[in-house]
Amino acid sequence: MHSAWYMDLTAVLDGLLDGVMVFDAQGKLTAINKTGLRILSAQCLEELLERKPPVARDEEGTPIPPDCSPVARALRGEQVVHQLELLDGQKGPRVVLRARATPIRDQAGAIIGVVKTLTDVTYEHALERLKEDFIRVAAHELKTPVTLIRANAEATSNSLPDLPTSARQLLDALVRGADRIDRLVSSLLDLLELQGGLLSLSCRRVRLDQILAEVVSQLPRAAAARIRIPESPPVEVFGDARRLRQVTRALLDNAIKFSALRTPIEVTLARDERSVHLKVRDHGFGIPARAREHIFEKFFRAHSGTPQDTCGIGVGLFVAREIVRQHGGSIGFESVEREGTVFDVELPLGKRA
Amino acid sequence: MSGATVMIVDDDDDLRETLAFILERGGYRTLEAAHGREALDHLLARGLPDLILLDMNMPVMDGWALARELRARGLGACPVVVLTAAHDAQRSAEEVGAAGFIGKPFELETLLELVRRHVAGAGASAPPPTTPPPSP
Repeated sequence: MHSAWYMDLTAVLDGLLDGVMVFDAQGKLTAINKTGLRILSAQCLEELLERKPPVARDEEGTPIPPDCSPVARALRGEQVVHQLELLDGQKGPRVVLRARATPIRDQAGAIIGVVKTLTDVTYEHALERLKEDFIRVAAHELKTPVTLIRANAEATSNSLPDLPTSARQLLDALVRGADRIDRLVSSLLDLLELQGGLLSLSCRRVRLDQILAEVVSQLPRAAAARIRIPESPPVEVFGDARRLRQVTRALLDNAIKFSALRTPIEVTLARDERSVHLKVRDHGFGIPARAREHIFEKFFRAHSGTPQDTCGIGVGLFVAREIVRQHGGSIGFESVEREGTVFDVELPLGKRA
Repeated sequence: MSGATVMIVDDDDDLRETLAFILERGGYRTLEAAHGREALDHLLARGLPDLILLDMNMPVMDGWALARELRARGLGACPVVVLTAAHDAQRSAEEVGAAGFIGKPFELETLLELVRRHVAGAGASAPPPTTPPPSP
């Protein structure tokens, strides 16, 4: 006979929408609730009957080695909060599960088992994929019309040598507008690459001072006029020029967007024995204290819903930080509200630089 | 090299027209094809241009298939420059063994410089294939 306490506990566990499993110190399954049974029996009944944990795959479809499974990790004392597992057994469609695993300890603190919970996230996972595919296709489809706008504005300007300056400036603005759409579209594609772990760098020795000058030359004239760059000797790093241009542009765009018209923006390059620092200082609105810890999160916009709210989708700093990280560097900031912000990118000097 | 011929293979009518305008002003003769099959038919009948500017994603026959056909039919002597969305340009160019690539959108000067370089690198107009190709 089971006690009333046991019956209560069983009822609670069976009422959960998550699968709950208990494993002993050897990793053998000792208890499972109804949801767990429903999830696993559709996929891997045989393993379940033998009380062996089923072999799951990771997001790329590679079988997860036994010692990397959430249960094995928890048996080593780790608290596993989020590991995606794909199960495609003989029966039923593939399910995507979010696994959590926590060690169970006795009073002396020794690990005597593991409790694992499984949340079925198949639908959310499919929705995420659908969203990514949609963004990828839409972004690619935008490339050709943007090319048309840009190329024709430039071709018109080039082929009419007698065009008045004012008209040429309008065409230049058209080119910059197209470039802006292109940067937005590219940030979305970058985001997908980052999520898929596909962002790759092609590194060589590059001149950071030249990259900075190029980026400034591509800014609208009013914005470029605000940038102050003190004379600096050539600064070389080992990096991906296109990606570093992107980081520089993201920092300058932010400084321009979040400060008053005509206030100066100071950009400095400095190197010590091991690294190079690129600093961008504005005298703008500053980052609100509540927003600081989120500033590098994707789709986060610090000034959303305030008078300083401007265009943007909140991926610039997220992508910039990932690029800097892949270069082995780091990015940080200091900010005082109504005084301004300094962003500081540190890049290692790297090979032969 | 002035007077060289560039074939533009892209399914977007407006983009082909724009590229033709830019290249003709740059002193080149241009040929246009809306997809790989149209390009291949033209090349088999009339011989090779000095350069092929190739979009990748096209209906009927895409850029990858055209590149394969060119190699299989011994027409690989003509340099190909891949013209596609910037994110994929380099990878696509490597996949088809292209001489170069340029991402969309591009700066006109970059495009003209690339064309200049590859047309010059190819030397004089490549001769048409020596053996008459089988009709497709």
